[in-house]
Amino acid sequence: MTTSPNTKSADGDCSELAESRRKEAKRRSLRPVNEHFSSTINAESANSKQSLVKNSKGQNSRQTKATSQPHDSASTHVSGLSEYVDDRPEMQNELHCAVIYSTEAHARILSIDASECNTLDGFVDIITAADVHHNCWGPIFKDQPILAKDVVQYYGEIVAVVAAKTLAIAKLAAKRVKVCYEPLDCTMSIQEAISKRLFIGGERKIQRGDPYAKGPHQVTGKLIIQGADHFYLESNAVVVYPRENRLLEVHSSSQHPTETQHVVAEACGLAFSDVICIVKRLGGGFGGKESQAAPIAAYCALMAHKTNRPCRLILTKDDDMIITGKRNPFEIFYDCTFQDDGAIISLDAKLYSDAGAYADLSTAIMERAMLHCDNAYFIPNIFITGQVCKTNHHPHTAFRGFGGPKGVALIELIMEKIAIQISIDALNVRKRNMYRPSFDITHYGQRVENNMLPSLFESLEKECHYKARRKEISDWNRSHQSTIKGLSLTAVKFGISFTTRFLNQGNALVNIHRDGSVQVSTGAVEMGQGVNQRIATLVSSELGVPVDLVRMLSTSTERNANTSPTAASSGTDINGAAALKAIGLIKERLAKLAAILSKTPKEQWPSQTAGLGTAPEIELASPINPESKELKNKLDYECLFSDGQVIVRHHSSINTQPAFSIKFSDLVNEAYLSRISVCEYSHFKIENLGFNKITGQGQAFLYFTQGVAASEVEICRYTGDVKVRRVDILMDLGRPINEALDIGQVTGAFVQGMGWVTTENLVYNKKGLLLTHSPSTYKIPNIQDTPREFNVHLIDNDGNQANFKGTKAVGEPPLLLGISVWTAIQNALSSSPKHLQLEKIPATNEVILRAMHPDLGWTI
Amino acid sequence: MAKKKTVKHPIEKKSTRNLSAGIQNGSLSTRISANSKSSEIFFYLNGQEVRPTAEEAFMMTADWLRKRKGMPGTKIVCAEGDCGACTVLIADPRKESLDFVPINSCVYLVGQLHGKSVVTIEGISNGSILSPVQNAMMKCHGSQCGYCTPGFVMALTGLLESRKMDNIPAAQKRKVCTNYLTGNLCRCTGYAPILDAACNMTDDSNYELKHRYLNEKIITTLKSNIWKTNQMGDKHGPTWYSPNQLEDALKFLKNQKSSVKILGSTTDLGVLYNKGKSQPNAFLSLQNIKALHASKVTPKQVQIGAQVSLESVRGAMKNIDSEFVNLLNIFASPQIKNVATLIGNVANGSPIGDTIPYLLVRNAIVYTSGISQGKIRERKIPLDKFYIGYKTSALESQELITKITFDRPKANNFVRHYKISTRKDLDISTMSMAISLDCEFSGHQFTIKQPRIAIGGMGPTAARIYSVEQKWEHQILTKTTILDLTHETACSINLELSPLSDHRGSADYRRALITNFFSKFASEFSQFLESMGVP
Repeated sequence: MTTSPNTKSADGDCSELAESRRKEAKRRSLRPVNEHFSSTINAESANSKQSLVKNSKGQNSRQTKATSQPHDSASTHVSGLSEYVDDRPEMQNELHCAVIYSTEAHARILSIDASECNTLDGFVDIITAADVHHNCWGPIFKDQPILAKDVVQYYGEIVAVVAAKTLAIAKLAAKRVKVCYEPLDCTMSIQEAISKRLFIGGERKIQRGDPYAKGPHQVTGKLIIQGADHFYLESNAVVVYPRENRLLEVHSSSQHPTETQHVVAEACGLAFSDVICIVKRLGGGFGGKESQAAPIAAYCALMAHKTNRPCRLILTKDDDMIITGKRNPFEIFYDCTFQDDGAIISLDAKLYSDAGAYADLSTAIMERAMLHCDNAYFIPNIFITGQVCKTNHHPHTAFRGFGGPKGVALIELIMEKIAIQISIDALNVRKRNMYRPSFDITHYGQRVENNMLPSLFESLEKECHYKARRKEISDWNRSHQSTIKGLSLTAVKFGISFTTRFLNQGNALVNIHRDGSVQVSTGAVEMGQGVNQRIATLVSSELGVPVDLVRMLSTSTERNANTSPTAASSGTDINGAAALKAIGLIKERLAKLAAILSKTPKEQWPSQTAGLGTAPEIELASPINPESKELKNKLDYECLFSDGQVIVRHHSSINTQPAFSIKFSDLVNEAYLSRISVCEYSHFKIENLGFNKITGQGQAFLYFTQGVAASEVEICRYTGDVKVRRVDILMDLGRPINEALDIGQVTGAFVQGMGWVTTENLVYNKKGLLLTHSPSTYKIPNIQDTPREFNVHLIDNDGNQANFKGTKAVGEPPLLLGISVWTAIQNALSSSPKHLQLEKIPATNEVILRAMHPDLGWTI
Repeated sequence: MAKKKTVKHPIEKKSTRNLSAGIQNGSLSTRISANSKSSEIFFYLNGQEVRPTAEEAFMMTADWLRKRKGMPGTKIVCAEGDCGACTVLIADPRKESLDFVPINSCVYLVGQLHGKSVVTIEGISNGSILSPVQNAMMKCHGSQCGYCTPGFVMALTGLLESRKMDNIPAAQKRKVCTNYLTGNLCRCTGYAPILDAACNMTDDSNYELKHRYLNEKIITTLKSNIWKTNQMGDKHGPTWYSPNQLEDALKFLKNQKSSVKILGSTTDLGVLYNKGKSQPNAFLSLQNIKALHASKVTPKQVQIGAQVSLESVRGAMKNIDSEFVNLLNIFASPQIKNVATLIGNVANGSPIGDTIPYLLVRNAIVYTSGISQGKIRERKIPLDKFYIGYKTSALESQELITKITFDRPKANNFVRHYKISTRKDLDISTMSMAISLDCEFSGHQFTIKQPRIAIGGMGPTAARIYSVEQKWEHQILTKTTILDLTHETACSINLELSPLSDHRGSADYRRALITNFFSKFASEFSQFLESMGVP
């Protein structure tokens, strides 16, 4: 990946480096998360500072060593100084916007009457569909109006936007806008949509093997999966400043600034170049702000464009939850056959998802669900169909894991059911079916390279004392009346890449200033995951400068255009790689300059002569093709960037002369004075991706992130109340750039997945109004719900050749391990002589109690 | 106005005269504040004295900080006191101990800050040097997106200030931290790193807020002002009235024409206010009336004044009624409990009622006061007669609840409170039930005396189940008979009650829970009998 002239020397001492890296990796691997944190604490600030001193010896500096440095915004986060959209100070002539949304699931708009607003002092303007220049958008299919025109298709669809001098007046004005509807026939469930044949896109198929191959045993059923709200703490927020000559400056809480820019421009009838979208950071996104931030930005931008005044639109949590889409609900019909030992012979699964009223990303989500029905298991004969249904709910959208969790929930449920049917431990069924040598081709024809699953299963089984605890739990369930316990160990194999090939590209701009400080700007949006810290670490280690010299800039379409959303766990992969590429080009020029300077008397250096013009200007040889190995081998020197110094050694004089060394910042200045650019823009694309959506076959992913989790639950027999007693997680994240941030992603994603399968219950009324639209009714996990014992370990895996520096993406995969809590509940229920089962997500207390007490005469 | 009235707490009123008119003609202050000197609202914000305008007094503190004071560090997420992102610390000299405790500033009116010292996230560090809490949060990676972080930092600072972490074994620290952080939601971290930060905070007296923000002068100034009447507002805007005499409060209520909200705390009103469901013209705050802050424990009874917070009740009930303490542990968050009052919960009259089923089995009595013919008229209403319909009570329109009394457990009292909610902590119950049995013990025989059973979430109000109590009275209990008795009761009770289906659970679920709560009770009671040597 790196393109600097030091490659040769790096090859030279790579075995030594690799060795030290392996030692380091071994030292830090398999460390319990608690120990990890307490060691960080004890080491205090020495942790970060001393490691820099160590680097000054030079040997390690070119390697990306895992650090555990805090998030780059940690100190401003804890001080309340981090700026979010609504923290921007109010401008003098600023307007506050409020939205008016549909109160019908499906209806014709008969009239919109804002006459009562006009009497309101401070009311300024209203916009409706008539004010939208191009009233149509959509991330895949352009099927959604920005402001509803003629017809509304879901409760919460935006009909109009008002603006006023204060927020209170804007809210009052919104209440005074009278919209008359004529209700139309509506479709509120997947079943209804199927019976009316209301679909979005055609039926998709992914299949392999013999449709007639069947095993002697069978499990069948229907799995119902509800959606979940993202519950990012920062609700959607936009501030738009109209600048001179039609330019709109949009500050949005968007995971996809480029799409936001485009949707705003089209809505306002502007060129894309007339809109700048800037995202400093998000107070959480989780997929919810990937596509759906764009129209919300457009409401505010339309108002700013129309009134030519700064405008602000901040959704309340209630409105945000009512308006925006959730994780897609799914219904899955399945039929799986298997052998006496639990080996799966065939899986037939029909997936239906509820897209809500518009396509949004639902077809891509369905695709990922279908691609993850195998999860960690080899299924020889497999027939998956997927159909996206159109209903009158808010348009559902991306949510961490995309479709993955739905496919994985299905196969993990099947594992539990097989185990019950043939009376063996579910872990044995999983190990019997897992991807392993010779059984490592997925149903879409991609080989599972660098497959760590066998060792992950084996290690975690041992580490978490699975067998001993299994016995304890059986004893407990026999001898205790008030609670039952369950234990389940599940896996995740998550494909990393956008399945839509063109999204797998990124770009980065690197500016090095004359004092040696560095600015990096990429298309990645910082939303808590630490993508900025990771990229800064990569850059600082490549340049051999302290990480605090690298400032990550806000994400702006002004610097990085045509970017992909920060989604699909890909933020660091594509944007980090682009930054590395840019750094490589800069380093190449600096190295050449350093080599020349090393042979030039200091009096003749540009800093001594350039102002006077007394020496000829240094010219670099024509650029080296970064891909050309021969050329690199021809270099007669090596160059190290380390600890703020650039060190040049000439091969010819390696034993006779001391190495030449120059301060990084001085070298940068010499470069500037020699009219050599120390800034670079690079574009990066992931190679070798080729998934054919029509045949359902091909190289869908660059690589897989894998992991396993064992969860133990205790359920109150009287109430169905679940406690998660203990969770052990073992992840393969390749060679992490920042181990602490990665572990934070693991614990956070796991608990989010756990919430989805347990307490997070979306309840709608008949009109599709979400009744659980605030934290008092929609219950995300609380600190009391976090597992009582929570051990997170990373394995040591240097073998991920596919990605730069052997790293693996972490954002989404651990969420799918939350499913182990759900299967642990299944496991607990199965301990009853009646083998009670539930096939619903979330398993709320009520769902569990129903499963436990079928005798209580429930009406359906 | 009819006798029946809606008792959303605070209480909505219709009245005949506009207060602002009263102020305008100058008669009001002389009429209602004859016995006290009125003072304007003032408090300390991060050590600086602040005197808000009348308009500011009606803002929620979080909005005011963000939009008027240029202090956007305090975040607003839910605006209903459920997520903790808006946590700030207050010290109130009206309380026994002058500690900084966390509250939800999104449901706390600026006017309520009168006579208090407030510290926000902007007041925690020492210049650019981070506090021990901030350091721990940073080093332990306790923040990801950062939006909940200021709230967590404030709650954790409150934890350090409370000294609850002093001298406890490491193993218990985690539990204490978890309990203290129940009112803060985080969607990024899964809480593990935050708990690590909480357990690894160093204690540095230099950062102690008491030292920094409560010097002698400030304390004296605050204390000399807290029991004084505040009054703000003009004819254009709403009115703020916070008298120091009950009589003045009652007169104000009687004379008001426009909608008045009575502020116990603002934990319920704040939600309605933020969500546009209540726009009162006048606020009547009770916090300056000293008598309402009193609580008293006598050998047989407990008495709690209208201004006593749930947290204070919890403190008072330690070593007195452990089941009540258990209930209060999982009811609401520390931020809410620090300000919300027990009377507020009673006045709110929710059908589920949180504390109400328990207070019902403890024979609680509600004391109300009103003005009648120029004199204060006090009424005693047993709690089981207090609620007369969905969110309606026997409280008359010009009355206030001043206090509540309830029984302390007698010897041989066996009591259980069961609550089920979607999430165990900080969640409104789907259903709750309390059973109290006074048992007579003779030989190896237990006889039930005065059984009291109350259920919330199964009808328009939380209520005693007298039919069952009658059946249980004088029953002789053994391990077998309790099973039969509870089983029979569960069957009969389910015929009597007609619960609703809502987003918290279906009617069937609630019925199933009743049955199971009785089974659970039977199981726990048998264990108790076993421990007493009853066959």
